[in-house]
This record gives sequence, C-alpha cells and structure tokens, in this order.
Amino acid sequence: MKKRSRLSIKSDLGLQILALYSLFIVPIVVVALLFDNIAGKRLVQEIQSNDLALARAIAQETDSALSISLFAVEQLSTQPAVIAAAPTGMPQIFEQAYNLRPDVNLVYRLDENGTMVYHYPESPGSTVGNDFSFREYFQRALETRDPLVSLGRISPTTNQPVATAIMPIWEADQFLGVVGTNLKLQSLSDTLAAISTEYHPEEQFQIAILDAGGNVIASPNPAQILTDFATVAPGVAQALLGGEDGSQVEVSEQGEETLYSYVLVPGVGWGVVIARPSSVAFATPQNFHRGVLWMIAVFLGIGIFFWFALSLRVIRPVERLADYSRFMGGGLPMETGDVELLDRFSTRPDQIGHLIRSFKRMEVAIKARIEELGTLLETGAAVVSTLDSQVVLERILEQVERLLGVKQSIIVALDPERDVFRARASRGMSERYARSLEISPDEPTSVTMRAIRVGEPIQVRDTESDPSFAALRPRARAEGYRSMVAIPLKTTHAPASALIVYSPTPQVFNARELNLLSNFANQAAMAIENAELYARSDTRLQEQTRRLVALMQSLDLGLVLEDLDGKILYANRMVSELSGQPMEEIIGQPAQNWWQQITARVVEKTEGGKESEGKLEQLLAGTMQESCILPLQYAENLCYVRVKGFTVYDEARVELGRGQILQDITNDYELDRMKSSLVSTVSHELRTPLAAIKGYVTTLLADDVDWEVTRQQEFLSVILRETDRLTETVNNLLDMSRIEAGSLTLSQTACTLDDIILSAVEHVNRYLGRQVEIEIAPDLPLVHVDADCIEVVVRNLTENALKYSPDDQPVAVSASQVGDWVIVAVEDRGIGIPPDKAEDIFERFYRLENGLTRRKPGVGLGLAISRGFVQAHGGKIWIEPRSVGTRILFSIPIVDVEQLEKILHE
Amino acid sequence: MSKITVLVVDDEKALLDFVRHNLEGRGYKTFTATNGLEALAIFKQEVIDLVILDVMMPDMNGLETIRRIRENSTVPIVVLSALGEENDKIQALNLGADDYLTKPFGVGELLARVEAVQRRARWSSASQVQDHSQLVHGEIMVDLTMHRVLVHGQLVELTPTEFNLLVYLMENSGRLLTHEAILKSIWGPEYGREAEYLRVYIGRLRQKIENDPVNPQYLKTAHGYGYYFESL
Repeated sequence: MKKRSRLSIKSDLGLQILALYSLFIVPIVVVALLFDNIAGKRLVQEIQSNDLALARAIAQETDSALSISLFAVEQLSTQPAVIAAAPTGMPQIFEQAYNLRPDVNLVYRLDENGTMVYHYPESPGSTVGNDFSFREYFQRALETRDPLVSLGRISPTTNQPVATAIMPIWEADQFLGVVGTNLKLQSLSDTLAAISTEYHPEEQFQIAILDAGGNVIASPNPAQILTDFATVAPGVAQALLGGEDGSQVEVSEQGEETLYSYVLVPGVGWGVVIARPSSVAFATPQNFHRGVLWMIAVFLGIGIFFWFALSLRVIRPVERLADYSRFMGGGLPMETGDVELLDRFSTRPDQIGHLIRSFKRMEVAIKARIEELGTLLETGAAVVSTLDSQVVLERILEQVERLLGVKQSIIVALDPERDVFRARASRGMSERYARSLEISPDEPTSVTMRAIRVGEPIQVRDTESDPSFAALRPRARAEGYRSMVAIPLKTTHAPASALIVYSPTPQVFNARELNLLSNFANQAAMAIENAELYARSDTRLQEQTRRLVALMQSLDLGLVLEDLDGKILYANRMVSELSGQPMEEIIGQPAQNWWQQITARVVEKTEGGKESEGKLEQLLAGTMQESCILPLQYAENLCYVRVKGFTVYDEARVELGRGQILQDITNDYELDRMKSSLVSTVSHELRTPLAAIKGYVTTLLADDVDWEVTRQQEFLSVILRETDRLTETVNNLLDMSRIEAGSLTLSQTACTLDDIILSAVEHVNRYLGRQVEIEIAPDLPLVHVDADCIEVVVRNLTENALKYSPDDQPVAVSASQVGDWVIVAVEDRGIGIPPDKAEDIFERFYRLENGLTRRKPGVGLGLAISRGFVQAHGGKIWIEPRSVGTRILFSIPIVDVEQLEKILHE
Repeated sequence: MSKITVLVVDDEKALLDFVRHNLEGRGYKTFTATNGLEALAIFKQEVIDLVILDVMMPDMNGLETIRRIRENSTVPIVVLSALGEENDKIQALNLGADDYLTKPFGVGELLARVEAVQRRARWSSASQVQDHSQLVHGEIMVDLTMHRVLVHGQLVELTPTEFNLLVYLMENSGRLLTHEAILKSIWGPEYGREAEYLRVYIGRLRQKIENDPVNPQYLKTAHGYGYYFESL
C-alpha cells in the first residue's frame, strides 16, 4: 500500500484530535510553569529573609550579651583595687564579678607588661606570673582606651574555649595593664542550641557565631568550636570578613547544597551564620515545582494514551477502509498485512466493525457489477473489432453463459429468402436442433415470435406448467430445458432477430438479469446490423472499384500513380504495354526503376530525343508542369509518348502522391510530320517549275548577255514544259480538292474503255518515251464513264509504273471483263509496294519513304485522285500482291442496256 | 578581276541549266552536280570559290551537303530552296550557309547574291589595310592585320561574314545598330529584311566569343530593333 508521504493536519484525523487536545493542555502547562517560576522565587526569598531575620536576632542578642560583658569589665577597671592591682582588693571584687556572671569563667588582671597578676578563681590551675603580652587583645589594648573583645581561644588557665572582654587600664597616659573576663563560649553555644531547638528540628538549622578572625566561637556542635569557618564555607567567611550580610548557597566537597544566611554582630566584628541544607530550606518551592512537573507529565500521558487509543481503534481502521475503498475503485491491490488487519477489524462488534463489514459486502456487489460491465464492454469491442458477425454472435452467447450461468442460448434471425427464422448462432443446444430450427414469422405458439411482435422480452417460467407452451413441450423436453426467455433484437437495417436463453430448471429471470440480457441482445443486434451494412456497402464499393479499374484499364492513356515514397501504387494496362512488363511487377516497385526502363528506350538521335530525358527528370521531380515527349524505340517502330505529371491531393490539399499520364502520340506525330512534309512537297512541286519558268524568262529578258537563237529556243521549250508540269500539278490539286469536298461532277458518256486507255498511254509515252504493252480484251462491254477522269486514272497508274520501275523493264496495261465489271490492271516489275502499305498509298499526299521515291517528283496525289475518280464511278481500286513489282487494278461497273436506255432518256 | 569558279547543285535539270547558263554567260567557270554526293566529289577535286546548292535533293540533301562542306571549308555557300519559311532559312544558315534564295527567283537576284557573297569574302581580306590594326574590348582582341580573333588569348575561328560582323559591331560599340543597317553593311545593299540571318550569325558569334552565350556580355539584343556591342 502506498504510504502517504506527508502528514497533513487536514488529512489526518489523529493529528487533528492531538492538536485539539494540545489547544487545551498547552495553556494550562504554560500557566503552571509560570506560576511555578514566580511563586518559587517568592518562596525562596521568603525563606532567605526568614533565616536572615533569625541571624539578626541572634546577632542582636550576642551583641547585647557582649555589651554587658564589656560594660562589666569597664566597671571592673574603674575599681581602685583593680587599677592598683592590689592583691588584697582584687579577689573580692573579682569573685563578686565572677559570681554575677555565669558566663564568665575567669576574671583576671594583667600588668603593664602582660604578666598575670591575679585571676579568679585561682584554681584549679594558676597562671599568675605568666606573661600574656603576646596575646592579640593585649597588643590591641595597648592602643585603645575602650573595652574590646578578643578572638576566641582556649584559655590556658581554665582550659576552655573562651573569648575575653578586655578593658585597658590607663592612668593619665600611663598604661597600667588590663582587666579581663573570659567569656565561656560554651555558654554562647548553649544559647544557640536553645535557639535551634526553638525551631523544628526537621529544618536542621545549624547556627554558628564567628569571631572577627573567622573562627567559629559558638556552635551547637562543640566539635566546630574554634575551627576556621572558611574551611566549611569559604564564600560565606569571606563575605563576613568583608563586612557584608546576606544569603548564599554553597556546595560542600561532598556535594551537599547548603543555604547560608549570615549577619555581622555590629560592635565586635563577629558574624552569625545560619546554615541549613538547601533541600530542607527550599523543600516547599521544590515540592511545588515537582508538583507542576507531575501535573504536566500526567496531562501529556493522558493525551498520548488517548491519541494512541484513538489511532489504534478508529483512525487505523478508517485508513485501511480508505485504502480498501480505493482498491475497490480500481486502485492498487492492498498488501496482505493490511487485508488481514481489515479482516480483524471487521470482527469488531462496534460501529467500525459494522462499517467495514458493509464495505466488504459493497465490494462483492461492485465486483459483480464491474464484471458485467467488463463483459459488456468486451462484447462491444468484439462487435466493433470484427465484421464477422458469426464470431461476434458466438462471443456474445459465450458471455451470456459466463455472466448469467446460462448453458443454453441461441440467436435466431429471419432468413429473408425463405421467410423463416433460423438459428444464426447457438450454444449448448444440440446441433440437430440448431440446424433444423425453423420458425415461421406468423407461428402463433412461438414465444420468440410473440416477443418480436411485442418488442419486449417474454419469459416462460416453467415449460411444463405454462399452458401457452404446451405445443412446444416435447421440444423443451428433448433439449432439456424447463424455462426460457426470448429477447427481441432491435434491428432496423437487418432482418428481425431474437436472443433466446434457456434454463434446465423452472426459473424466473430477475430484472437485473433481464437487463443484462437486453444489453447482450443490443450488442448482438449491432453486430448483425454492422455485418449487414458492411456487406451492402462493400458490394457497392467493390462494384464501383471494378468499374473504375475497368475504365482505367481500357484507357488509351497510360496512368502511373506513385506514393510519397516513390513506390508505384497503380499502373494500368497501357503502362504495362509501354514497359513490356506485367502489371503485377510494376506495382510496388520504385517509380524510378520503372522509368529507367522507359528512358532506356529513348532514341537520342531523333529530334528532341536528347533533351527529352532531362525534361522527364524535371517532370518526375515535379519541378516542371509542362509535358514532355519521349521518342521511344519498340523493336522496328518508333513511338512518341507524351508524358504529363500531376500531383494527387486529398480534400484538405495535402499531397498524397504523384502521378503521370502517358499518351501514345505516334499517330499525331506522324500526321504532323506528314503535314509539314506535305507543305514542303507541294511547295517544291509548285515552285520548282515556277523557278525554272521565272529563271528562263528573266534570262531571256536580261540584256547583258546575247543568247544564240538555239539557246533561246531551248529556254522557251523548257518554259513550256515547266508550265505544263505546273498546270498538271495544279489540276491534280484541284481534282483532289473537288473529290475531298464531294463536288466532283462527272460528265459521263457510254463508251468502251479501249480508246481511253490508248489515249492515256500515248500521252504518257509522249513524255517518257518508253514502251507500254497494251492488252485489251476484245468486245469489252460498254461502261458509263467520264472519259477524262478515267484517262487521268490510267495515266496516273501508268506513269507511276514507269516512274518506279527500271527503264528496261516492261510496263503492261490490260483491260478485261470479269462478271459485271470491267477491270483494268497496270503491271510493272519495279520496286513494288510493301503489303502493309497497300492501303496507305491511296491516301492523299502519301509517298513511300525510300531513296528511290524521293528522287522522283510528285506530290503524292496520283493514287488518291485515281481512287476518288474510280469510286465516283462506283468502282474499286486495289493492289494485288506480287513477288516482284506492282499490279494495281481498278474496276468499273458494266451498264446493262435497260439501264443505259434509262440513262439516255434522262 | 578574273571570274571565280562556281559549283551549282540541283536535281532539277531545268533549274540547274538556268543557273549554269547564266553564270557561264557572264564569264564564271561552273561545275554542276545533281545531288549532294556528286557535289562533294567535285568539291574535293576542284578549287571552288562559291557553292550554289538546292536543298531538296535525293541522295544526300542540301543541308547535309552544307554540313559536310563546312567540316573543313569556309567557302561561301548560297542555298536555293522552294521552302521560304523562316525556320528553313535558319536551319540552313545555322549549318553554315551564307545566303538563302527562295524559289522562284530571277536572274538578277541570283547574280546579286553571288556578287554579294564574293564581296563579303573580299571585305574581310580588305580590312587588312585599316589604319588601326587592332580592336580590343574586354577579353576580345581582334587583330585586323592578321585577320584573327583572340578571346582570353585563345584563337577563335570565324567565317569571313562572322569576322566582318564582329568587326562592324566592335567598331560601332555602344551604338545601337538596326537589323537593316547591319545587313546592308555586312551582307550588302541588296539586303535589309533578312533579320533571321542576324539571329543566326549573332547566335554563332555568341557561341564563339561569349562566356555565357545565353546571357551575353558583349553582343546584346535590342528586341525588335537590332543589336549593339556593349562597350565595357
């Protein structure tokens, strides 16, 4: 499962609750901490000032006690006996003083040298006579006239710790020694002990009095007496020696914290120190502080506990549930651990458990639904993915079985040819049943027909009990079903159809199942419709394509289509003929290769042959729009092919490919060539005689040369001859144009052909001077002809025969009757006419292309005119194939007498 | 001046005799042939100063004959033809004919052309006596004394008419010359309307002296008017 990478307060319920809890707790904790801080300080100050007050009180008391001692010693110093150090007076006075003061354990007098003069009590030990001038108080006494207190020490006389109240004795300016009383420090200590006990012993007060040297001179603890206090608390000792009051905490070497409060005793430089362990002294604020911390801890603990409880019992199940819902929605599958957890949660009796159980039930329902939808989608996809309706229908039945558990199903459709419903696809039915099933559309007992008629599904819950099914019961028993439902398919373009499902047990299909079946029925309908429509459009398309292909194949033009990669997509018959390659080989090969085969045939030495290849290259590349003409060599023939390129665009003017149209223009080309050669031939035929005429005429007219008479005669005869020649040519042209225009008028007379043939031959001989054999059959029948025209025909044929045969070879003209025709033949042994040109030579201006014909003058009109004339007489003109030379014949119909008379009458 | 020798070629005996009689009558020496092959045979054997040739002939026509003659001779050639179309004339001129006479023609025209051709041939040799012996324009140097043309220092072969035309244009460089003016100056006073002659000759000159004959640098055309030599 995917963990959320970032905890966000917005998305996490646990965090939100935690935040809410903190909102309550944090102010309370803060207030408690503040209070703890402020109140704690107050308490500490109070404790310290309490201790100081106590110390002050003790200092006061000590001060007053010392004042009394000093006053007493001052009083003693005023006693004359004491001043005089008289041995007699002193014991009484001293005894009195001693007894008055319980805290004094010795009263004594030192002389001016410091020597003990007397002390009371005199026992147990006596130090009389001892020199005490070394004592610090003696030194100090030498310099003052006021009483003073010595430092604490062990008295050698009493052997007890004492401090001495000293009064120097002066008479005038003479120092007479001192009087002193030793104060028992023990008694101070006792006082302190009493004070200590006044307080609660648990507060562990320790009170000490220090002398001006920093030594302990009074303490409830006797062991401490006369010890240096600096060793216990150096800071305190130093502060006191510096003359300060105050409090401070010092840590002993053992690590114990002690609160010291200290106050100076004003008169004597002593100090009072009250010490107690910090733990005792500050017990209250510390307890309070501890209480606050406990409170915070408890709050935090409760918070954490609740949060854990909440997240474990609520948030975690909810989160799992969220994952689960995502999974149901098609997300990632859950981890097994999470699944187990969810299973555990689902056993809980509380609301969470209930919720998870609901979700699980929902999942099962959704899964089933999704499967149905998936199946329908799959079916839909199958419908659109194939046009084979059989496959789709079988698939649909398979899905019906899968989703509804239906083992038997069938799809029936109307067979329009036989007008019965037959099975289109079946599943689980016996093959015999499926094949033989035939339902007439008006069959009254058929459930299916009823369903189709009403357009709604119709169920039979139990075939055994349904009365309307009685007729079909045997069939149901044979096929083994007890209930069925027929769903009509909604088709508009295809014949009516229905989906029928069967169940082996009596059963009612519920609304959901019926709905599902309807869905399948719709899919099936779509498949049948698609297949039907496709079949129709396909047939049309195929028909259209066939026509187009036939059209393109039959075109006289070659058509090559290539795609953008230069591959030939289509080529028609003409293209295949031009390259001599079968169509299948052309299609698919690179266009360039195909064109190479064409350009290989280009005849470079012809007119435009060389440039044509360059032009073609440009044309194929699409850089030239004009067409180009390729002279191509095919075996013996020269072919002219015009190539024109074009680009194929789709409707959006996007280039799809290119194409070329090839047109065989050999005939046009030949015609063009013939036309231009005609012009030059006619020009030549007209201008050559003209040139001779003009030349000789100008020659005769020129006066710079005198020509002999014979020359002049010669020139004139040439002029005459050339004029005749010119006339003949012009006549020919005129005849031809008359024939062409159909305006030829014949002035026909009934005659035989003998005279005409003889006249023609004679005319020819006049110029050419060659013998022509004439063979005319006797008693030729009459014909009805224009004699001039026929004479021209015979003359033309004879002239041609002479022109195109060697001078020594004979030319024969013959005439005979064959059936209803008179046939005239002109025969030579000349160059002959190729059989394939036997028709062409009768075309006007046609001249055979070879060296010999070109050498002979002529326009190429003779035979054309001859044919025109013969045809105008209702005859024919033709060539008979010969191995050597030429035999041209023409026929003229014979006129019978009746017809002749009729003609004569007219 | 002694008369020149003329070779007359025509397959029409009438026309051939007409030309021959007239030339011989005026003192020219003539040879005749009735087709191209015959003409070439005579041309090889005899010293011919002028060829008069028909175009439409069997056994090697006139055009092919011109081409063969031009392979190694600059002899003046006058073409006789029944075809008067411009294309026919240009075709003949392109092959190297000097003049073109369309049939029919009178004896006067024939003689004038024969003399003009002779005159042009004489002129090109007569320019030896010019004052300045050299004409130089750009990379083209015409040595009038030696009667030769150098382009980029390379010797270029020109026919007499080509040479005369080039010299005429160069001498008038920068001036626009009409077709008529050029024809009358180079071909002779009888000429003036034969603009196609100029097209052929200028074209041939461009092929010989221009770096890029399609985009001439020197020999410029003034369309419908004439030509001029660009003075650089």
